[in-house]
Amino acid sequence: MKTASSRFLLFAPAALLLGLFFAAPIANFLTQGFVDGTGSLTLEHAQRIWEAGTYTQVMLASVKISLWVTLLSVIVGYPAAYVLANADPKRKSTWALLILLPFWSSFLVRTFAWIVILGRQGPLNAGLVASGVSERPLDLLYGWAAVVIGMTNVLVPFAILTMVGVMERIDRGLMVAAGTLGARPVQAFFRIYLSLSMPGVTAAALLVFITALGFFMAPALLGSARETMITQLVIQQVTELVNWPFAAILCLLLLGTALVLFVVFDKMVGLSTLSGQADRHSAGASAASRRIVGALGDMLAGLAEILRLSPPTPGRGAWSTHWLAVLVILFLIVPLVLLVPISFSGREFLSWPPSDVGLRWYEEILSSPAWLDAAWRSFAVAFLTTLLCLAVAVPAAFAFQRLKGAGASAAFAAMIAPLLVPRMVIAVALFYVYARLGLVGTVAGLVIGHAVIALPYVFIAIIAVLKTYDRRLDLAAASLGASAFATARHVTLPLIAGGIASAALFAFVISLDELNVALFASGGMQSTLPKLMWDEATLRFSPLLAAVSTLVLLAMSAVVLLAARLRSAS
Amino acid sequence: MANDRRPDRRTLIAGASAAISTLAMPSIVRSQARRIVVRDLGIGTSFNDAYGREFTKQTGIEVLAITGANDPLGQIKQMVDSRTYTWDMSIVTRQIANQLASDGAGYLEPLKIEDSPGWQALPEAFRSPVYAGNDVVATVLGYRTDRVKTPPRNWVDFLDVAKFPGRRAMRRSPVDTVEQALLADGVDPGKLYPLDFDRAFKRLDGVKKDVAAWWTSGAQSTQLLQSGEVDFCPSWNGRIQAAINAGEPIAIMWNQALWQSEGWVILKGGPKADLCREFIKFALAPERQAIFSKATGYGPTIQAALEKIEPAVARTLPTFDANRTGAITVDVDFWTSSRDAATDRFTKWVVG
Amino acid sequence: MTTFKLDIRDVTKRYGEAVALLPTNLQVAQGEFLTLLGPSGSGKTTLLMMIAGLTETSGGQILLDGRDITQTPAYRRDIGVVFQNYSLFPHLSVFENVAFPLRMRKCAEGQVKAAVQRSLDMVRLGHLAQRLPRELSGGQQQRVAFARAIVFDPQLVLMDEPLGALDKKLRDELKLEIRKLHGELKKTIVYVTHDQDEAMLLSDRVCLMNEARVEQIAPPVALYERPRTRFAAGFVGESNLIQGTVRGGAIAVGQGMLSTAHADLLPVEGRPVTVLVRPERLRIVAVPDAAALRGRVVDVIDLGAVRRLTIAGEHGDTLTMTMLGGDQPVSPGATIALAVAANDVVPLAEDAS
Repeated sequence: MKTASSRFLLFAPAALLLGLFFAAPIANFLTQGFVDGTGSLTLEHAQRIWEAGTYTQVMLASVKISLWVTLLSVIVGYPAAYVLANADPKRKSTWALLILLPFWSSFLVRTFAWIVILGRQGPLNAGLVASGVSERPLDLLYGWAAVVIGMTNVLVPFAILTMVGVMERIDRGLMVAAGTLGARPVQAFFRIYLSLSMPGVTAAALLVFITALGFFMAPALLGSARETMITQLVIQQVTELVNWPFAAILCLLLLGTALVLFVVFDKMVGLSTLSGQADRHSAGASAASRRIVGALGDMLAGLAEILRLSPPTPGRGAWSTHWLAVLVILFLIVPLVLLVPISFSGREFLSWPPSDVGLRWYEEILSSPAWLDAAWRSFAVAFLTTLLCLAVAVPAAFAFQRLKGAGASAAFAAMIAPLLVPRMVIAVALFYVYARLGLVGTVAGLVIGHAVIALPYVFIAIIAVLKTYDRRLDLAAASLGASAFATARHVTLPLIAGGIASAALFAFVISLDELNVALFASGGMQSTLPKLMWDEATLRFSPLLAAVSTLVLLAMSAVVLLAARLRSAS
Repeated sequence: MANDRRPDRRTLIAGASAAISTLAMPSIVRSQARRIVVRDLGIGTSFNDAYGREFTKQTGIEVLAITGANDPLGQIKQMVDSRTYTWDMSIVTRQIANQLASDGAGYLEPLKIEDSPGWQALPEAFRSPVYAGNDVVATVLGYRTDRVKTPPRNWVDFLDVAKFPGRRAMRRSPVDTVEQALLADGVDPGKLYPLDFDRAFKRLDGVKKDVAAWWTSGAQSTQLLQSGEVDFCPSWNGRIQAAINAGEPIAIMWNQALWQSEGWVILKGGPKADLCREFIKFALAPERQAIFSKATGYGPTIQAALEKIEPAVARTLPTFDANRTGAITVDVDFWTSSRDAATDRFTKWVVG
Repeated sequence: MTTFKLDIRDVTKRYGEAVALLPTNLQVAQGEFLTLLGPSGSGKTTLLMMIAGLTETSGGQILLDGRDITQTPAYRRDIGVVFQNYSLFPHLSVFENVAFPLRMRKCAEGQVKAAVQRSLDMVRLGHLAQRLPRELSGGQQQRVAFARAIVFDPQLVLMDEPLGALDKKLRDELKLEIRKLHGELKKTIVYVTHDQDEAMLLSDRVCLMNEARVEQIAPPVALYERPRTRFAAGFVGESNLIQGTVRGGAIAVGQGMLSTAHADLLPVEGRPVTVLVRPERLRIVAVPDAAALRGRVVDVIDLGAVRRLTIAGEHGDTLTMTMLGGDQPVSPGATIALAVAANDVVPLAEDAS
């Protein structure tokens, strides 16, 4: 695997997939921003960006919301990831099941659940009024807080999964050692554990931030006009105004902003730790941040001492951390739990409280060939997407590990590029390629589109794990006479199986939840579950959505539990 | 957690072979010569109940209804431009139809069904060479009767936040919203068009802080009213009617209802254009439209259909005599020429 | 009565039904180097972890300088620990690793610099202070770990098989270095190992452990010379265990008689007894007398410096004998007579189990 040509071979599947189904269509789309009706170059569209400051203002608002969501997702996700990574094997599957529950349900549905929760007649307001905290229902919906809560709720599981992969690889002995050197558990946590988990935190933050930047449903449904995000405007340009050139310009604005933030992020936190380059040149910045974090830890340690809080020690029963994790889980699953009683409501609308309890909506789903068909198709597409993503991302990640400097940065940027483009734009651009290849409205079209969208997540998850993987083991295997392939198969892959599995989970879940490809690149043919849910949500808003969500939840939980049972039996 | 699940080789192989057979499956749609795909509004089973099932029974032509996004202007252009006819025909608003017909070389197939009785029964206002009206949609004001004590009489009342306190929502689009603002500002309904945007936005400036939510989909507007999130919300009459039918304390202000029609169009150059014509001829029948209207709350374009609907339901339709007296017809030609600029301006205004 | 540096009183550890350490008593004096020696599962690491405060005790008391630290958390015990896998913080430079305990104690920056430099110089790594741990060799990493464990001048240093992961040559080198450092620092050290050579070379006293309890505590030479049990005799050094019967204050072995200078350790007249004779304490005698064993040479391994004989004794046991090389040659098949000084015949107690 040392030669440049074999490295090239490892990148080939990724290059093929992204070149054909991402770079080409997107480039085609973006160049339209600089071409006028006659085909000659123009800056006419680009200049509109500065008009009235609206677009830059919306961009700024998008960045602000995304930053808040990123911060909250990482902070909220951290304790849960910590508990998950450090739980003993028996409890671990329970924690994992609880934390990942929201994953099994559509993010669309969860967003709608927040409309119910935060509504004037919703359970939260009912509780506030009943408990006397507030005299009358508060206007919780349609504002900044609702958008941030809704988006954070959706993105926290992503943050958790990304961080867990890295945390699982932190040597617990280091915390023990720190204890013997005089560090209180809280200090040891801040000075040692936090630093060592930083690659995971950075990866999670990056992932969440970029995903958040492309959101449009949550701000549209939960926010006021002030929380308009840039992708909403792109979508408006494409679907409503059919102004492709200006949509392209807005996309470029989004891409440019993301790139600028990338660089800032790199300077501040050290993106290089993520892309696997030498950590030394960023030592200055990170040493400073380490000092700050360390001091914070000392302060908290003193505080904990005063309050007699039980500190988080891996392996030991640290109830305060566990309770924190339980709170996180509650936050994550509240929308889902709420939907269960609503799914039995006999009323026409998704609302609180449920009444006329019955199985009306379950009957409707289970007797509808459209829903059953879509369910089958969604799971099949998700499975195939997972296979395709792994087949493309795993070799690329291995090749990436061996790259250095500018080559590594370029490869990294290329692999995660699909993250930066709103999914909806990818889907619309894909339509033209699919039209030429006869893939419109086919399962293959769905799988390819989903794979392009899921690939960055899978890639980041795998390299985050590879980064903490001791490559001397590879050398050891090689020295024992193992070929490159045998080393990968017998040594490396088994050791990073956990990371690969969480990467696969990403792919599966993203595909299962992906709406845009089905909506825009398939013309609504080959309906998937999210597509039908979207129709249902935009046309009827009935408890049927809750029933579907509950059924998917049950099915996925059964699959997960069965897998766990099978594993413990074997 | 995740590393718990290690699929063994057998399941992988089984999955892969299932996958391959799925991929190899030819697109059913393309292999079906006698089948048309119609983009439909997706209101429950209304399309199949009113048209699809019976049409297939009579002609043997299968109809697949696909629910598409609101105002699928971009999608239809994309399909025609790339000659990928995922849909053969669609139901769209009159304004979208006009726009599709006038943009570029035109994106719609001439209907050429003038000899059919359905076409002849269609009032002039509801048809064009590429468009055959199916229903009338009225944008009306819905309000909570449990909170709003005095019923609002017109759009002036709607935006009078002092006399009519309460939470409000409006549509996140200049269409309808600009008309409402001008009417609220006292513009004579007869002299509404061409719309005075400066005046409209000035009126909207005054109430911006009182509008809690700007809805983007019909279901959202229903939900806003039905859940009591807002007390006033203009929307399409069928949307509000759905909440009323579900027993919610909501009423409709029919005065100054803003009328638009929706109807059938055929994608230009499509391979199934003739089958689509058969379908449209079939659909333009009073008894068929009656079924559709009863299910959706939208008024039939063929007056005779109204007589086939029981009075209790007919009273809730826009085309019912009592409801149409104060109605104002939206000038779709005006919108066709000014929608893009208006949308742009509105967006800037609403996010600013 | 003097206070011990470390005083372990009836300390025990149970995991449910399983006993990891039976109630154990152990005292370590100021400046002493004590090794916990024993096979894996003997409880030595468990004991060490309890001293460090990393494992809770199930009973008993641990006193450091007369102060009960049984309930004190690890970070307040002021005990330096060197772990087998080094446990260096991978994200911190060598300097910062060593500085860590000082920073935890909020030492002034100048003090930190001086102390770290001193410690690193002591382990001869002063020039590598800015490296990251992964840029060092295994031996260097172990030395950093040692420097880190002593930099804060702890009351006690614990070392858990610190040389376990290193190759033989490096181990030998570091052994000497630890011995030297102990001599310079005069720190009280408790050292865990299963390697008897390490124990013999480094320790002031060895605490031999087996099956969750202390087998014998003695200075290395005493442990070698006067092991109390068969286990102790077998675990430390090479041994000939000879079965005999007590007869008149001596041991009857087959036709011969072995006299012992340790008659007080013998059971009563007529009882069977096992005695230890170290291979190098056997002598070939030309004129056999009563106090001799006879046997036939089965095998001769000439290692140059020493020569090892395997002898089938007439009394039935196989004996091993080590003699200096260069003496008169002995050929396999020859019948020889062996003598041993009375002081070198050590009667053993039966093992507890």
